[in-house]
Amino acid sequence: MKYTSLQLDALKEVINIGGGHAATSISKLVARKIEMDVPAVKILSYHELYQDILADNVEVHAVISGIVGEYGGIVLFVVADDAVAKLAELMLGSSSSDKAVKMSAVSELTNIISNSFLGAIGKLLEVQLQSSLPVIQDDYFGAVISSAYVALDQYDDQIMVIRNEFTYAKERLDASLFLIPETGVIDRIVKSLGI
Amino acid sequence: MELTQKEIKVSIADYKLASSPDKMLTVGLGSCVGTFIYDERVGIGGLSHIMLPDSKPFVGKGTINPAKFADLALPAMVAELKKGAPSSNLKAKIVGGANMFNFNSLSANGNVGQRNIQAVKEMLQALQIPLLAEHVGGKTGRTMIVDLKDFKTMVRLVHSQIVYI
Repeated sequence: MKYTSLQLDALKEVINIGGGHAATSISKLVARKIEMDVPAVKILSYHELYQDILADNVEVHAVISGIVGEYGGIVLFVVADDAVAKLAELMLGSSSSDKAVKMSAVSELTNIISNSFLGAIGKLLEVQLQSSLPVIQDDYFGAVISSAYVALDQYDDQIMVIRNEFTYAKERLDASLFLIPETGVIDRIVKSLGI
Repeated sequence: MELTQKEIKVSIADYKLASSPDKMLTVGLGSCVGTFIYDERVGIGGLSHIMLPDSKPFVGKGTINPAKFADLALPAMVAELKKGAPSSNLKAKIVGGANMFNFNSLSANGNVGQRNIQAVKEMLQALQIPLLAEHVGGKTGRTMIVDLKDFKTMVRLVHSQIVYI
């Protein structure tokens, strides 16, 4: 995987637009302002990923949806325990102790985020992109992320990590969105941007 | 002098050797497979964390990290173990190979976890190492901790479930 810094910047801008739309959709939905940090587009080894972003032995709630349309891949939403409670509270308007209710609220939220994220990217690139219904699983971050990349034929020791982080009322929501495209998709995106 | 028990971490696409009384662990096994091969009499063992079954499709496409593939990692690790124990009596335990998120419905690549388990088992057979115990398949990720004092293998699943094999 070799990309110029200009290509990576362009990709970052695409993700920024996608993430911005996603943050706006949630803000509208919960009638509160959710912000999104400047996205990270980095090529990292698994070792760096676990060191810089999240350790491999951390238990997370992972929500995965497939990308349906012109480009293949998956959108992975990784949420820490306390963020699940916070997000569910935002969605439901009150706190709930029922785990199933919380997870279902977060799953629904993810569906909205993924679709507005993909919709915005698709619009920019003039292709149709949607996400399939999300699958939710609690597991170790290391197991989730390595299995996701391998399932999409990305076998390199170095992986391209495309990630957005969300904040609410200046407080960091421990939730990150990863975009894991199928092989060749990044090249096509960069190409269609004319860079 | 009392020997302190070290805990040696094996990363994804790597393998390491250690001896009693140390512990070795590898975390976040999803579709990956962890293979513990050891010799009880000599008190040594190796732990490998492979990602893929077969290196052949990748030959000629850049540098190959042998520790990433079942077909290369296990023979290499066993060769190193045999240096420390020439007339060794090796045994194996394997953990992992889950099909998380039902990925086979999302990817054309199929069930990598199942293929990894198959490849590791075939490799062990080829190396004539008996497989003593396994905790494989299913849908959840695992962490594997092996104790070179008694060769017990602890498998930790999410929500603090623990199984010994």
